[in-house]
Amino acid sequence: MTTFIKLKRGDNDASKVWGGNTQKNPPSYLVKDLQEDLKSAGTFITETNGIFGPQTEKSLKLFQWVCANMTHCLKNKNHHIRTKTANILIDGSLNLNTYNELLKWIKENNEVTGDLIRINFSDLSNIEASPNYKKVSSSKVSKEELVISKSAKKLITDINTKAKNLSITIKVNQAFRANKIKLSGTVVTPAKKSQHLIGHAIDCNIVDGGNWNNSSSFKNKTETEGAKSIITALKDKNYRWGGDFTPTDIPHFDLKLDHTKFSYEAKFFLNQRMISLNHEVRKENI
Amino acid sequence: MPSVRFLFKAFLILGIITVAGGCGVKPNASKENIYFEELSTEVQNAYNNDQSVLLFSFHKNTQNSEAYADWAEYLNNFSSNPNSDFHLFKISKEDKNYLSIPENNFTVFLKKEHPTYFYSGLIVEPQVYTAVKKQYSKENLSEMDRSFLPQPLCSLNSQSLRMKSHCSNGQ
Repeated sequence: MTTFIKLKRGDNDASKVWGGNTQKNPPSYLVKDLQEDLKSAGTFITETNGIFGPQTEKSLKLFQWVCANMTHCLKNKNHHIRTKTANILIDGSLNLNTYNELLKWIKENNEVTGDLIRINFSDLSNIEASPNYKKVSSSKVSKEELVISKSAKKLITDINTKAKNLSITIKVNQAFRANKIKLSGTVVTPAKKSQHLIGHAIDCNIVDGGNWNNSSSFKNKTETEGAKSIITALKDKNYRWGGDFTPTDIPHFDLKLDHTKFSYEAKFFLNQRMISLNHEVRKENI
Repeated sequence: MPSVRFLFKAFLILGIITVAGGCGVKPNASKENIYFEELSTEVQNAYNNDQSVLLFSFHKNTQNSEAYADWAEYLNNFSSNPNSDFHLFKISKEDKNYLSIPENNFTVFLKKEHPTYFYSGLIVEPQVYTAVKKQYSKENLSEMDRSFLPQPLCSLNSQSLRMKSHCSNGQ
């Protein structure tokens, strides 16, 4: 008789190790089955091999994180609203709750996706694309749109509101950034960690009465009163200003998500995958 | 009558003096690139061929910072832009020491018969590259472009930049 065994790191189909012990009879659900299902759900991206190693553990943890935190997924490749799964443990082992949820995802043909949204600049009264604005490389996004994580949408609306109150304009250089590997044409290694890579940051210049407040303005302490006011107002709302960083990163605001936490890793994986696989990026109205 | 051996010795000594004396004299570089002749050959070649040159330096300790992330993104975008005719070089330790640049993070823009620009720190605004590119290709610069142009080398106060010696020669 076959039974369900809580699969975990170190298990191996070929060695007949399941649940941390050598078993005489195989369980109903093998490591390879788990890997195939995680692959269908979109979190396992390497070859299946029946070995529950660090990659399988991370993929399972990603799936559990999505179940617990994400209100969207793809169903039959189309955007779909879902309810967060209650009481799911994010520990990278196959407990019964996770197993049931995974089977449900497979049955419903669900796939993980990120939380990036697109906002049309025309919906923002005081935020515009700068002449150097580079759109996200996705056919689902137009050059008139800004892409950001849904969780950082408030950063954009707060900047817009403050800018409107102060009669200043924010010129955006970049928000979400697709991760690049070092290709020909690149001269330095791209950063591995950044709030831009998860869609939590915006690079912009504050244009106040025709004055471009840029790095030089701040270095020379010639920034305008409007620039000082919006920075203070946004810092009061707990956003970070790049002028406070070392080294300074003047035209940068972000909503920090600690990159040592798993939530950063999950968002990085989901949002980068969302763009590289050309998933739908939902349009949000302000 | 001097012997053949004596003549040979005299020529040999004269030759040694000539060579030794020559070692203390720099090659016939123009005053314009007096600091430049000591830089690596490939940088010199680009410069002498009237190419726009960008020398950059960064400290590896900055690599986990947001500033590095932005700097790398915009520099790579500028480098991979098909319209960019700049030759980009990471400055060598020797060149950095030779030029007496006291900072770790900086960019130098050079083009023959154009102003040399020194940018202190990491460039985190793509408009800086656009402004220098326009300046070097003699395009019209808007007010916005001008606000992003780095300081010309000769207007800087730093005495430790050996490149400054070049300024008294007419730049």
